[in-house]
Amino acid sequence: MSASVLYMSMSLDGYIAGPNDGPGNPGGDGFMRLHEWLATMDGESGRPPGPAGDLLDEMEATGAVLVGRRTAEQVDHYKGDHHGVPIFVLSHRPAPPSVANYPLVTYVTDGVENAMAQAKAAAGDRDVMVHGADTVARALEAGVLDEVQIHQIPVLFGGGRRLFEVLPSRVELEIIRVIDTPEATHIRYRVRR
Amino acid sequence: MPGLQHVETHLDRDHGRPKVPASVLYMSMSLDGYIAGPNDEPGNPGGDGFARLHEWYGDSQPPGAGPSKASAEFLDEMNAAGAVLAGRRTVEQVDHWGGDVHGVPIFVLSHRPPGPCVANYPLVTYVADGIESAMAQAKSAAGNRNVSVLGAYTAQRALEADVLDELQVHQIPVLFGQGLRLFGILPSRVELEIVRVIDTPEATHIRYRVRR
Repeated sequence: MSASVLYMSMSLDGYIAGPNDGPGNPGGDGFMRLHEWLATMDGESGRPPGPAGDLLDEMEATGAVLVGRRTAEQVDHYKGDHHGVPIFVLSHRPAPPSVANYPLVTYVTDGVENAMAQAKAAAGDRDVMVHGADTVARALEAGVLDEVQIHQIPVLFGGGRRLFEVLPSRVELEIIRVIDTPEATHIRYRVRR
Repeated sequence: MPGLQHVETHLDRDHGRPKVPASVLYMSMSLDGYIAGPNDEPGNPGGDGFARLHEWYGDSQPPGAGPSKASAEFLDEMNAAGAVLAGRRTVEQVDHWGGDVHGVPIFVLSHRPPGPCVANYPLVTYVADGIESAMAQAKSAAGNRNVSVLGAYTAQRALEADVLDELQVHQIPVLFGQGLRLFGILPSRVELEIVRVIDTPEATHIRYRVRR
């Protein structure tokens, strides 16, 4: 059964981006600190060693990406290619002209339920990777987020953009896996319904 | 989905390291960073839904089973502390714990003088001249034991002043959505070291040391 899974690296104090994030400064000041756990590449394989490599494999086994416009525009829509799978961008507005060059990118303007339905259909029996703070809030509100994979980084950012802002109601989770490494605590949750 | 099993064993990265008395923040926090629900005040300590953050501590265990292994460990650890440092907001919601937390001195950080009820609590001392002074007094009272730190405001001041040594976060698998957050805005980034992770179905218990 394919699942929609939020993948985010987050500081202990809940930030996923530093201050001043924008298209010229994706993720804001200090953003790389949150992704160092993935950046220690093994010279031979080109992938991180140990559990980080396994987690990267898991992400790359997803069959579609659902992302918010803010995130997508900061990274130029991953230049149209996120491990070769279809990319769905949730937005209220039509796609910018640059997207015409990216055949794998589809803008969805009629809500997160529809965006998730399209992403799940495209992913087939594989999972859908979900990215972005606004998108996760919408997906939680709509009840279409199945799992949350947090890479919790041992740092207090002190400012920036939080993953979880105010939600309309409490959401119960189930801890399904904890991977303890010196660089990050990787916790996987299932959303209880 | 691999790894559906929770193992209450853990790697203690401090194994063999000499124990030095430390100031340790103990807080139960939701995944979205809340330590209290909305509307917290005296009469509703911890706010709406607060009990959810503390179920791991034993309420969810079958009757007669006693606290879980992790709860028992943390209870022992907190009872071994030699002093408590807490914020006024926290202590006033719980009437200063009736003046007694396992018999050790309680220091309360506040800009204002204590309320009249504190006269009946000889172990409670109000400190009005800042976090450094409050922590120095608490550490002195604790001797060779740890200082337990409680409260969001106090934690933030202690982090800013660089007098907090460790953080024991009990991370609860719930998104509260609103309430009081443990961590607010800090003047600069604080790097931590993961000392120990205990994985249980009720909570992920993560111990951090502040890097200096």
